[in-house]
Amino acid sequence: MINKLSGMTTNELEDILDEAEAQIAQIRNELQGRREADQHEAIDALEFPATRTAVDWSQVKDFFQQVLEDLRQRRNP
Amino acid sequence: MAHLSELDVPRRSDSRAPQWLGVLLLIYVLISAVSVIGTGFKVATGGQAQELFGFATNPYVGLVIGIVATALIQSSSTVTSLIVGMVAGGLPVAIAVPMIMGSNVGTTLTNTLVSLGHVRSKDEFRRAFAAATVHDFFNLLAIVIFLPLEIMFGLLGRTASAVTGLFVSDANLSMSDLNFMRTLTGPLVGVLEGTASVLPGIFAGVAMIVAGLVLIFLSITYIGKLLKVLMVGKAKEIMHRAIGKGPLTGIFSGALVTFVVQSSSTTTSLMVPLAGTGTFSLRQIYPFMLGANIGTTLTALLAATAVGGAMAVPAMQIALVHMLFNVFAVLVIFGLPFLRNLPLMGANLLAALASEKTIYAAAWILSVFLLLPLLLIAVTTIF
Repeated sequence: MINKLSGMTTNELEDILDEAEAQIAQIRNELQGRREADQHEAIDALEFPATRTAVDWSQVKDFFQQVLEDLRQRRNP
Repeated sequence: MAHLSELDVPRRSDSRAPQWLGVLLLIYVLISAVSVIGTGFKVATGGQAQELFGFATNPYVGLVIGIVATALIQSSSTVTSLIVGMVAGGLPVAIAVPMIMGSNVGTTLTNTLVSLGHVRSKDEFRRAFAAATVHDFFNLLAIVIFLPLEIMFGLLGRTASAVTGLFVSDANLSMSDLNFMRTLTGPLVGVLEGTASVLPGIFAGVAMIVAGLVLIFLSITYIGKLLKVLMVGKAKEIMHRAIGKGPLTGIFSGALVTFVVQSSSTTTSLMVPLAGTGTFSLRQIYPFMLGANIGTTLTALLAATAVGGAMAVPAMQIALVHMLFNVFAVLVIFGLPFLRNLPLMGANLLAALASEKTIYAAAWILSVFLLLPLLLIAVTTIF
Protein backbone atom coordinates (compact mmCIF):
# COMPACT_ATOMS: atom_id res chain seq x y z
CA MET A 1 0.00 0.00 0.00
CA ILE A 2 2.80 2.40 1.01
CA ASN A 3 4.70 1.50 -2.20
CA LYS A 4 1.56 2.09 -4.22
CA LEU A 5 0.97 5.45 -2.56
CA SER A 6 4.58 6.56 -3.05
CA GLY A 7 4.13 6.07 -6.79
CA MET A 8 1.18 8.49 -6.93
CA THR A 9 1.26 12.20 -7.58
CA THR A 10 0.29 14.69 -4.90
CA ASN A 11 -2.88 15.58 -6.81
CA GLU A 12 -3.86 11.90 -7.03
CA LEU A 13 -3.34 11.49 -3.28
CA GLU A 14 -5.42 14.60 -2.54
CA ASP A 15 -8.21 13.28 -4.78
CA ILE A 16 -8.21 9.92 -2.98
CA LEU A 17 -8.26 11.69 0.39
CA ASP A 18 -11.14 13.98 -0.65
CA GLU A 19 -13.10 11.00 -1.92
CA ALA A 20 -12.45 9.02 1.29
CA GLU A 21 -13.48 11.99 3.43
CA ALA A 22 -16.66 12.46 1.40
CA GLN A 23 -17.48 8.77 1.80
CA ILE A 24 -16.85 8.90 5.54
CA ALA A 25 -19.13 11.93 5.82
CA GLN A 26 -21.77 10.04 3.82
CA ILE A 27 -21.46 6.99 6.10
CA ARG A 28 -21.69 9.22 9.18
CA ASN A 29 -24.83 10.90 7.81
CA GLU A 30 -26.35 7.53 6.99
CA LEU A 31 -25.58 6.21 10.49
CA GLN A 32 -26.93 9.39 12.10
CA GLY A 33 -30.08 9.13 10.00
CA ARG A 34 -30.58 5.48 10.98
CA ARG A 35 -30.00 6.26 14.68
CA GLU A 36 -32.49 9.12 14.55
CA ALA A 37 -35.03 6.94 12.72
CA ASP A 38 -34.64 4.32 15.48
CA GLN A 39 -35.13 7.05 18.08
CA HIS A 40 -38.31 8.33 16.40
CA GLU A 41 -39.58 4.74 16.24
CA ALA A 42 -38.79 4.17 19.94
CA ILE A 43 -40.68 7.33 20.93
CA ASP A 44 -43.67 6.28 18.84
CA ALA A 45 -43.68 2.93 20.63
CA LEU A 46 -43.35 4.56 24.06
CA GLU A 47 -46.17 3.69 26.43
CA PHE A 48 -46.98 6.22 29.10
CA PRO A 49 -47.73 4.33 32.32
CA ALA A 50 -51.39 4.26 33.28
CA THR A 51 -50.46 4.04 36.96
CA ARG A 52 -49.15 6.99 38.96
CA THR A 53 -45.55 5.79 38.76
CA ALA A 54 -43.83 3.54 36.27
CA VAL A 55 -42.38 1.28 38.97
CA ASP A 56 -43.17 -2.40 38.56
CA TRP A 57 -42.83 -3.65 42.14
CA SER A 58 -42.61 -7.30 41.09
CA GLN A 59 -39.48 -6.39 39.11
CA VAL A 60 -38.03 -4.60 42.14
CA LYS A 61 -38.72 -7.72 44.23
CA ASP A 62 -37.10 -9.92 41.54
CA PHE A 63 -34.05 -7.66 41.55
CA PHE A 64 -33.50 -7.91 45.30
CA GLN A 65 -34.04 -11.67 45.11
CA GLN A 66 -31.33 -11.80 42.47
CA VAL A 67 -29.02 -9.74 44.68
CA LEU A 68 -29.52 -12.27 47.51
CA GLU A 69 -28.96 -15.15 45.09
CA ASP A 70 -25.72 -13.54 43.81
CA LEU A 71 -24.51 -13.08 47.39
CA ARG A 72 -25.29 -16.73 48.24
CA GLN A 73 -23.43 -17.91 45.15
CA ARG A 74 -20.37 -15.87 46.07
CA ARG A 75 -20.35 -17.37 49.56
CA ASN A 76 -20.87 -20.94 48.31
CA PRO A 77 -19.42 -21.04 44.80
CA MET B 1 -60.97 11.91 2.88
CA ALA B 2 -60.47 15.60 3.56
CA HIS B 3 -64.10 15.84 4.52
CA LEU B 4 -63.73 12.98 7.01
CA SER B 5 -60.65 14.47 8.65
CA GLU B 6 -62.47 17.80 8.97
CA LEU B 7 -65.25 16.00 10.79
CA ASP B 8 -62.77 14.20 13.00
CA VAL B 9 -61.37 17.35 14.59
CA PRO B 10 -64.46 18.62 16.40
CA ARG B 11 -65.46 15.07 17.35
CA ARG B 12 -62.06 14.47 18.96
CA SER B 13 -62.05 17.77 20.85
CA ASP B 14 -65.64 17.25 21.97
CA SER B 15 -64.83 13.85 23.44
CA ARG B 16 -61.94 15.38 25.36
CA ALA B 17 -63.88 18.28 26.84
CA PRO B 18 -64.97 16.35 29.97
CA GLN B 19 -61.37 15.28 30.57
CA TRP B 20 -60.12 18.87 30.30
CA LEU B 21 -62.90 19.92 32.62
CA GLY B 22 -61.68 17.20 35.00
CA VAL B 23 -58.13 18.62 34.86
CA LEU B 24 -59.41 22.13 35.67
CA LEU B 25 -61.50 20.78 38.53
CA LEU B 26 -58.54 18.85 39.93
CA ILE B 27 -56.29 21.92 39.71
CA TYR B 28 -58.98 23.78 41.64
CA VAL B 29 -58.97 21.00 44.28
CA LEU B 30 -55.14 21.06 44.40
CA ILE B 31 -54.82 24.78 45.08
CA SER B 32 -57.73 24.69 47.53
CA ALA B 33 -56.07 21.81 49.39
CA VAL B 34 -52.85 23.81 49.76
CA SER B 35 -54.87 26.60 51.33
CA VAL B 36 -56.56 24.11 53.71
CA ILE B 37 -53.18 22.71 54.77
CA GLY B 38 -52.00 26.26 55.51
CA THR B 39 -54.95 26.93 57.80
CA GLY B 40 -54.70 23.45 59.35
CA PHE B 41 -51.01 23.92 60.05
CA LYS B 42 -51.71 27.28 61.67
CA VAL B 43 -54.46 25.80 63.86
CA ALA B 44 -52.51 22.64 64.76
CA THR B 45 -49.36 24.52 65.75
CA GLY B 46 -51.22 27.37 67.43
CA GLY B 47 -49.00 29.81 65.53
CA GLN B 48 -45.93 28.16 67.05
CA ALA B 49 -44.73 26.36 63.90
CA GLN B 50 -41.18 27.62 64.34
CA GLU B 51 -40.95 26.17 67.86
CA LEU B 52 -42.65 22.92 66.86
CA PHE B 53 -40.30 22.45 63.94
CA GLY B 54 -37.32 23.39 66.08
CA PHE B 55 -35.83 19.95 65.42
CA ALA B 56 -35.75 20.77 61.69
CA THR B 57 -33.74 23.97 62.14
CA ASN B 58 -30.83 21.61 61.55
CA PRO B 59 -30.84 21.86 57.72
CA TYR B 60 -29.70 18.23 57.35
CA VAL B 61 -32.80 17.07 59.21
CA GLY B 62 -34.93 19.14 56.82
CA LEU B 63 -33.05 17.63 53.89
CA VAL B 64 -33.69 14.11 55.17
CA ILE B 65 -37.40 14.85 55.69
CA GLY B 66 -37.60 15.96 52.04
CA ILE B 67 -35.69 12.90 50.74
CA VAL B 68 -37.60 10.30 52.75
CA ALA B 69 -41.07 11.87 52.32
CA THR B 70 -40.67 12.11 48.53
CA ALA B 71 -39.13 8.64 48.23
CA LEU B 72 -42.09 7.18 50.15
CA ILE B 73 -44.85 9.12 48.37
CA GLN B 74 -43.00 8.98 45.02
CA SER B 75 -44.24 12.39 44.01
CA SER B 76 -42.12 15.50 44.45
CA SER B 77 -45.10 17.63 43.36
CA THR B 78 -47.17 16.34 46.29
CA VAL B 79 -44.36 16.95 48.78
CA THR B 80 -43.48 20.42 47.48
CA SER B 81 -47.17 21.44 47.42
CA LEU B 82 -47.44 20.19 51.01
CA ILE B 83 -44.37 22.24 51.96
CA VAL B 84 -45.94 25.33 50.33
CA GLY B 85 -49.04 24.70 52.44
CA MET B 86 -46.95 24.33 55.60
CA VAL B 87 -45.13 27.59 54.86
CA ALA B 88 -48.51 29.25 54.33
CA GLY B 89 -49.36 27.94 57.81
CA GLY B 90 -46.32 29.51 59.43
CA LEU B 91 -43.39 27.14 58.83
CA PRO B 92 -40.35 29.42 58.34
CA VAL B 93 -38.95 29.45 54.78
CA ALA B 94 -35.43 28.82 56.14
CA ILE B 95 -36.59 25.45 57.57
CA ALA B 96 -38.49 24.57 54.40
CA VAL B 97 -35.63 25.21 51.92
CA PRO B 98 -33.61 22.04 52.77
CA MET B 99 -36.86 20.03 52.63
CA ILE B 100 -37.42 21.28 49.07
CA MET B 101 -33.84 20.29 48.18
CA GLY B 102 -34.39 16.85 49.70
CA SER B 103 -37.53 16.31 47.64
CA ASN B 104 -35.37 16.69 44.51
CA VAL B 105 -33.27 13.71 45.57
CA GLY B 106 -36.23 11.67 46.81
CA THR B 107 -37.94 11.86 43.43
CA THR B 108 -35.01 10.18 41.66
CA LEU B 109 -35.76 6.92 43.49
CA THR B 110 -38.60 6.20 41.03
CA ASN B 111 -36.47 6.03 37.89
CA THR B 112 -33.73 4.15 39.77
CA LEU B 113 -36.31 1.49 40.74
CA VAL B 114 -37.55 1.39 37.12
CA SER B 115 -34.00 0.66 35.93
CA LEU B 116 -33.86 -2.47 38.14
CA GLY B 117 -36.34 -4.12 35.76
CA HIS B 118 -33.51 -4.41 33.20
CA VAL B 119 -31.33 -6.60 35.41
CA ARG B 120 -31.80 -9.75 33.26
CA SER B 121 -29.52 -8.37 30.54
CA LYS B 122 -26.12 -7.16 31.72
CA ASP B 123 -25.53 -4.50 29.04
CA GLU B 124 -29.11 -3.29 29.11
CA PHE B 125 -28.97 -2.99 32.91
CA ARG B 126 -25.68 -1.07 32.73
CA ARG B 127 -27.16 1.49 30.32
CA ALA B 128 -30.52 1.74 32.14
CA PHE B 129 -28.92 2.05 35.59
CA ALA B 130 -26.52 4.74 34.32
CA ALA B 131 -29.44 6.71 32.86
CA ALA B 132 -31.28 6.52 36.17
CA THR B 133 -28.35 7.31 38.44
CA VAL B 134 -27.08 10.25 36.37
CA HIS B 135 -30.18 11.98 37.77
CA ASP B 136 -29.23 10.86 41.32
CA PHE B 137 -25.66 12.12 40.91
CA PHE B 138 -26.76 15.45 39.46
CA ASN B 139 -29.27 16.12 42.25
CA LEU B 140 -26.80 15.08 44.96
CA LEU B 141 -24.13 17.35 43.44
CA ALA B 142 -26.67 20.20 43.36
CA ILE B 143 -27.20 19.76 47.10
CA VAL B 144 -23.47 19.56 47.80
CA ILE B 145 -23.07 22.93 46.04
CA PHE B 146 -26.22 24.81 47.02
CA LEU B 147 -27.00 23.64 50.56
CA PRO B 148 -23.79 25.16 52.02
CA LEU B 149 -24.44 28.36 50.02
CA GLU B 150 -27.97 28.47 51.44
CA ILE B 151 -26.75 27.83 55.01
CA MET B 152 -24.01 30.48 54.75
CA PHE B 153 -25.65 33.19 52.62
CA GLY B 154 -29.31 32.23 52.20
CA LEU B 155 -28.68 32.38 48.44
CA LEU B 156 -31.91 30.74 47.26
CA GLY B 157 -34.14 32.17 49.99
CA ARG B 158 -32.93 35.73 49.39
CA THR B 159 -33.11 35.48 45.59
CA ALA B 160 -36.61 34.00 45.79
CA SER B 161 -37.60 36.76 48.22
CA ALA B 162 -36.35 39.42 45.79
CA VAL B 163 -38.21 37.83 42.86
CA THR B 164 -41.39 37.41 44.94
CA GLY B 165 -41.23 41.08 45.89
CA LEU B 166 -41.53 41.97 42.21
CA PHE B 167 -45.04 40.63 41.84
CA VAL B 168 -46.47 39.82 45.27
CA SER B 169 -46.88 42.97 47.33
CA ASP B 170 -46.20 42.79 51.04
CA ALA B 171 -47.98 46.08 51.66
CA ASN B 172 -51.46 45.20 50.49
CA LEU B 173 -50.73 41.55 51.33
CA SER B 174 -51.50 40.15 47.89
CA MET B 175 -51.80 41.14 44.30
CA SER B 176 -55.14 41.22 42.57
CA ASP B 177 -54.62 37.95 40.66
CA LEU B 178 -53.77 36.08 43.85
CA ASN B 179 -56.81 37.62 45.54
CA PHE B 180 -58.82 36.32 42.62
CA MET B 181 -57.46 32.80 43.19
CA ARG B 182 -58.31 33.04 46.88
CA THR B 183 -61.83 34.19 46.10
CA LEU B 184 -62.18 31.37 43.61
CA THR B 185 -61.01 28.70 46.06
CA GLY B 186 -62.96 30.24 48.94
CA PRO B 187 -66.09 28.04 48.71
CA LEU B 188 -64.29 24.65 48.78
CA VAL B 189 -61.78 25.84 51.38
CA GLY B 190 -64.67 27.15 53.50
CA VAL B 191 -66.53 23.83 53.35
CA LEU B 192 -63.43 21.79 54.24
CA GLU B 193 -62.31 24.09 57.03
CA GLY B 194 -65.86 24.37 58.36
CA THR B 195 -66.25 20.58 58.46
CA ALA B 196 -62.91 20.10 60.24
CA SER B 197 -63.71 22.88 62.73
CA VAL B 198 -66.33 20.61 64.30
CA LEU B 199 -63.40 18.84 65.98
CA PRO B 200 -61.90 20.43 69.09
CA GLY B 201 -58.74 22.61 68.93
CA ILE B 202 -55.63 20.91 67.65
CA PHE B 203 -57.61 17.98 66.17
CA ALA B 204 -59.35 20.35 63.77
CA GLY B 205 -55.94 21.51 62.51
CA VAL B 206 -54.65 17.94 62.15
CA ALA B 207 -57.84 16.94 60.29
CA MET B 208 -57.36 19.86 57.87
CA ILE B 209 -53.72 18.86 57.26
CA VAL B 210 -54.66 15.20 56.63
CA ALA B 211 -57.60 16.17 54.39
CA GLY B 212 -55.41 18.64 52.50
CA LEU B 213 -52.63 16.10 52.03
CA VAL B 214 -55.04 13.42 50.78
CA LEU B 215 -56.62 15.91 48.36
CA ILE B 216 -53.22 17.07 47.06
CA PHE B 217 -52.13 13.47 46.56
CA LEU B 218 -55.35 12.47 44.81
CA SER B 219 -55.57 15.59 42.65
CA ILE B 220 -51.93 15.31 41.50
CA THR B 221 -52.40 11.59 40.82
CA TYR B 222 -55.54 12.12 38.73
CA ILE B 223 -54.24 15.26 37.00
CA GLY B 224 -51.27 13.09 35.94
CA LYS B 225 -53.56 10.29 34.75
CA LEU B 226 -55.80 12.61 32.73
CA LEU B 227 -52.91 14.59 31.27
CA LYS B 228 -51.17 11.37 30.19
CA VAL B 229 -54.26 10.55 28.12
CA LEU B 230 -54.78 14.10 26.88
CA MET B 231 -51.18 15.10 26.28
CA VAL B 232 -49.45 11.88 25.26
CA GLY B 233 -49.46 13.01 21.62
CA LYS B 234 -48.11 16.45 22.50
CA ALA B 235 -45.44 14.97 24.77
CA LYS B 236 -44.28 12.61 22.02
CA GLU B 237 -44.28 15.48 19.52
CA ILE B 238 -41.98 17.48 21.84
CA MET B 239 -39.67 14.48 22.18
CA HIS B 240 -39.62 13.91 18.41
CA ARG B 241 -38.65 17.53 17.85
CA ALA B 242 -35.71 17.24 20.27
CA ILE B 243 -34.09 14.39 18.33
CA GLY B 244 -30.88 15.39 16.61
CA LYS B 245 -30.77 18.73 18.44
CA GLY B 246 -28.36 19.92 21.11
CA PRO B 247 -28.47 19.59 24.91
CA LEU B 248 -30.30 22.90 25.40
CA THR B 249 -33.21 21.56 23.36
CA GLY B 250 -33.03 18.41 25.50
CA ILE B 251 -33.34 20.45 28.70
CA PHE B 252 -36.17 22.51 27.26
CA SER B 253 -38.10 19.49 26.00
CA GLY B 254 -37.58 17.64 29.32
CA ALA B 255 -39.09 20.62 31.14
CA LEU B 256 -41.95 20.91 28.66
CA VAL B 257 -42.86 17.21 28.69
CA THR B 258 -42.80 17.20 32.50
CA PHE B 259 -45.00 20.28 32.55
CA VAL B 260 -47.57 18.79 30.17
CA VAL B 261 -47.79 15.45 32.01
CA GLN B 262 -47.27 17.12 35.44
CA SER B 263 -44.90 14.42 36.67
CA SER B 264 -41.11 14.34 36.61
CA SER B 265 -41.21 10.68 37.70
CA THR B 266 -43.13 9.82 34.54
CA THR B 267 -40.78 11.63 32.17
CA THR B 268 -37.56 10.42 33.78
CA SER B 269 -38.88 6.84 34.06
CA LEU B 270 -39.81 6.88 30.37
CA MET B 271 -36.20 7.71 29.51
CA VAL B 272 -34.75 4.71 31.34
CA PRO B 273 -35.94 1.98 28.91
CA LEU B 274 -34.93 4.19 25.96
CA ALA B 275 -31.40 4.27 27.36
CA GLY B 276 -31.51 0.59 28.34
CA THR B 277 -32.13 -0.55 24.78
CA GLY B 278 -29.29 1.69 23.61
CA THR B 279 -31.57 3.76 21.37
CA PHE B 280 -30.56 6.93 23.24
CA SER B 281 -27.10 7.49 24.68
CA LEU B 282 -26.51 8.60 28.27
CA ARG B 283 -25.35 12.01 26.96
CA GLN B 284 -28.66 12.44 25.14
CA ILE B 285 -30.73 11.37 28.16
CA TYR B 286 -28.83 13.57 30.68
CA PRO B 287 -30.16 17.03 29.58
CA PHE B 288 -33.71 15.67 29.38
CA MET B 289 -33.49 14.56 33.05
CA LEU B 290 -32.35 18.06 34.05
CA GLY B 291 -35.27 19.60 32.19
CA ALA B 292 -37.63 17.32 34.13
CA ASN B 293 -36.24 18.82 37.37
CA ILE B 294 -37.28 22.29 36.17
CA GLY B 295 -40.64 21.26 34.68
CA THR B 296 -41.85 19.76 37.94
CA THR B 297 -41.41 23.02 39.86
CA LEU B 298 -44.43 24.62 38.20
CA THR B 299 -46.88 22.57 40.30
CA ALA B 300 -45.72 24.18 43.57
CA LEU B 301 -45.84 27.63 41.92
CA LEU B 302 -49.42 26.96 40.89
CA ALA B 303 -50.21 25.74 44.41
CA ALA B 304 -48.71 28.92 45.92
CA THR B 305 -51.11 31.15 43.99
CA ALA B 306 -53.93 29.93 46.26
CA VAL B 307 -52.35 31.43 49.35
CA GLY B 308 -53.50 34.92 50.18
CA GLY B 309 -53.02 37.40 52.99
CA ALA B 310 -49.79 37.86 54.87
CA MET B 311 -48.56 34.34 54.04
CA ALA B 312 -48.82 34.82 50.24
CA VAL B 313 -45.25 36.13 50.15
CA PRO B 314 -43.47 33.24 51.98
CA ALA B 315 -45.63 30.66 50.15
CA MET B 316 -44.62 32.07 46.77
CA GLN B 317 -41.05 32.45 48.04
CA ILE B 318 -40.69 28.73 48.86
CA ALA B 319 -42.27 27.72 45.54
CA LEU B 320 -39.75 29.95 43.78
CA VAL B 321 -36.92 28.45 45.83
CA HIS B 322 -37.79 25.10 44.26
CA MET B 323 -37.64 26.56 40.76
CA LEU B 324 -34.51 28.66 41.34
CA PHE B 325 -32.67 25.72 42.93
CA ASN B 326 -33.23 23.61 39.83
CA VAL B 327 -32.51 26.42 37.36
CA PHE B 328 -29.31 27.44 39.20
CA ALA B 329 -28.22 23.80 39.42
CA VAL B 330 -28.54 23.42 35.64
CA LEU B 331 -26.76 26.73 35.02
CA VAL B 332 -23.86 25.91 37.35
CA ILE B 333 -23.42 22.14 36.97
CA PHE B 334 -24.36 21.79 33.32
CA GLY B 335 -22.99 25.21 32.42
CA LEU B 336 -19.50 24.60 33.78
CA PRO B 337 -17.69 21.96 31.69
CA PHE B 338 -15.63 20.59 34.61
CA LEU B 339 -18.80 19.97 36.64
CA ARG B 340 -20.97 18.85 33.72
CA ASN B 341 -19.22 15.54 33.29
CA LEU B 342 -19.12 14.58 36.98
CA PRO B 343 -22.66 13.07 37.07
CA LEU B 344 -21.91 11.23 33.81
CA MET B 345 -18.66 9.83 35.19
CA GLY B 346 -20.27 8.81 38.47
CA ALA B 347 -23.23 7.15 36.73
CA ASN B 348 -21.02 5.29 34.24
CA LEU B 349 -18.68 4.02 36.95
CA LEU B 350 -21.49 2.93 39.27
CA ALA B 351 -23.43 1.28 36.42
CA ALA B 352 -20.31 -0.63 35.30
CA LEU B 353 -19.83 -1.94 38.85
CA ALA B 354 -23.55 -2.69 39.31
CA SER B 355 -23.78 -4.64 36.06
CA GLU B 356 -20.92 -6.87 37.28
CA LYS B 357 -22.21 -7.24 40.86
CA THR B 358 -25.84 -6.37 41.57
CA ILE B 359 -25.00 -5.74 45.23
CA TYR B 360 -23.53 -2.36 44.17
CA ALA B 361 -26.91 -1.28 42.80
CA ALA B 362 -28.68 -2.45 45.97
CA ALA B 363 -26.06 -0.73 48.14
CA TRP B 364 -26.47 2.54 46.18
CA ILE B 365 -30.26 2.56 46.59
CA LEU B 366 -30.15 1.70 50.29
CA SER B 367 -27.32 4.20 50.93
CA VAL B 368 -28.75 7.22 49.12
CA PHE B 369 -32.35 6.83 50.18
CA LEU B 370 -31.97 5.27 53.65
CA LEU B 371 -28.49 5.06 55.20
CA LEU B 372 -27.16 8.45 54.05
CA PRO B 373 -30.19 10.31 55.46
CA LEU B 374 -29.89 8.44 58.78
CA LEU B 375 -26.13 9.03 58.90
CA LEU B 376 -26.60 12.76 58.21
CA ILE B 377 -29.04 13.07 61.09
CA ALA B 378 -26.77 11.06 63.43
CA VAL B 379 -23.61 13.02 62.59
CA THR B 380 -25.23 16.46 62.79
CA THR B 381 -27.03 15.56 66.01
CA ILE B 382 -23.87 14.29 67.72
CA PHE B 383 -21.56 17.08 66.52
